[in-house]
Amino acid sequence: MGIRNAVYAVTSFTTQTVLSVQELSTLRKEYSELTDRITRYEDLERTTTEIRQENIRLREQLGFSSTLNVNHIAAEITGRDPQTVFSAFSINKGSDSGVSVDMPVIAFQNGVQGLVGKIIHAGRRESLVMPVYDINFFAAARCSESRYEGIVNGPGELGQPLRMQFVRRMFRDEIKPDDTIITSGMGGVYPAGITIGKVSEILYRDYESSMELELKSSIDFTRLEYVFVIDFSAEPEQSDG
Amino acid sequence: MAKNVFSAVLFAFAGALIQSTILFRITPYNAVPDLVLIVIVFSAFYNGSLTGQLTGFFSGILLDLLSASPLGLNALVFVIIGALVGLLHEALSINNLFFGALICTTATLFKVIFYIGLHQIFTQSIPAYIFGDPTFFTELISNTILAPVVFFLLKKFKSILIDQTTERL
Repeated sequence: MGIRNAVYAVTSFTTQTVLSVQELSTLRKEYSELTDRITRYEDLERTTTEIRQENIRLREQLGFSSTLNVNHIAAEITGRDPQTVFSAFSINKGSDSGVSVDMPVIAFQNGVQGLVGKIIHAGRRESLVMPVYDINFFAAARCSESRYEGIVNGPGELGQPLRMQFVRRMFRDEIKPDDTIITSGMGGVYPAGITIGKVSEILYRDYESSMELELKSSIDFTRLEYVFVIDFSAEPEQSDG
Repeated sequence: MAKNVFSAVLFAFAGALIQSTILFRITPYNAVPDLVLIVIVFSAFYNGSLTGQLTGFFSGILLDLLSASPLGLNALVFVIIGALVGLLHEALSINNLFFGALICTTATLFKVIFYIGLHQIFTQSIPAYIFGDPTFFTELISNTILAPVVFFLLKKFKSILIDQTTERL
C-alpha cells in the first residue's frame, strides 16, 4: 500500500507539474492575446475619441453654417504657404466649388463669426487665402458701438496685433479697450458686420490728426481648421426655418 | 543634364509640398524649413552652375505657383543661388555632408539678404525677414540641421540627380 501511495504521489506530482507547465503556456498565450486585444481596444478608443471630438467640431460648424443667410462654401484648411515670409494658407475648395478671387473668408470660433481673410488665388480644387494678419491685408472697418471708421491692416506676422489706422483722434474718448471692431462693408469686398477683433490698445500722438488702434483678432489662427467662403455673386440660399 | 534638372525639380516640388503640409506644423515661430533651397543647393553643388540655375528657375516657378509670392520672385532668387553654388562645383572638391549644411546655411542667409533687398524696392508686395527675429533663426537652424539629412537621402538617387560625367561622390 505504501509503495502504491508513493507511486501515486510521484505520478500525481509529475502529472500536476506537466499540467501546470501546459497551463502556464496556455496562460502566456492567452495573456499575449489579451494584451493585443487591449492594445486594439485602446487604439479603437483613441480613434473613437478623435472621431467624437471631430464630430463636435463639425456639428458646431454645421450649426453656424445653417445660421448664415448668404451663400457660402465650407472648406477645410489643408496647408500653408511654403515660404516663411508669406502668410497665406490653402483650403480644399477651388473654382470647381464656386470659389473665386476676392471672396471673403470667415470662420466660427468660440461662438463668434470672425473675419479670416480673402481668397487671393483660386485653383480648380484648392485656393489660397490671405489672412487678416498678412501685411498686404486691408479692410474697411468700424467700431461696432461708436461706429467710427478706419482701415484694418495686417501686421505681417501671426500673433502680432492687427492695426486699425486712420481713426480720427478727436474720437479717442469714445473708443475704449475691448470695443469690438467689425467690417464696415465699404469697398465691396467684405460684407458689413463681420467681427474682426477687439481693441487692445489705443495709440496716438499729439501732433497727428488720426490715431491707431491695436486689435486682438477674433480668430485664433493656431487652431483654425474650417472656414466659410462667402459668395455674394449668387442668390442667398432659401432656408425652410 | 535635362534628366538631372527634371529629377531635381520633381524632388524640389515634393519638398515644397512637404513644407506646405507637414513641416509648418512641426517648426515653431511659423518658420518653414526650405527643402526646395536644399534640393537646389544639392543639384548645383554636384552638377555645376548651369544645372543649378535651371533647377533653381523651374523649382522657383513651381514654388511661386504654390505660394502667395509674386510670380518670378523665387525663380529669381533660386537662379542666383543655383548659379553661385554651382561655381563651388568647379572650385571645390569637398564631398562632405556637413559641408553641404554649411553651404545651405550660407544660401539661406543669401536668400534672406536678397529678400530684404527686394523688400526695399517692392515694399508692400515682398515681405522681408527680420534679422534677430526668432522666425529667421528657426528657418536658418532648421535648414542647417535638415541639409545633411536631405543630402544623404538625395545621394540615394544619385543616378538620376547627378550627372555621371561630373560625379565626385
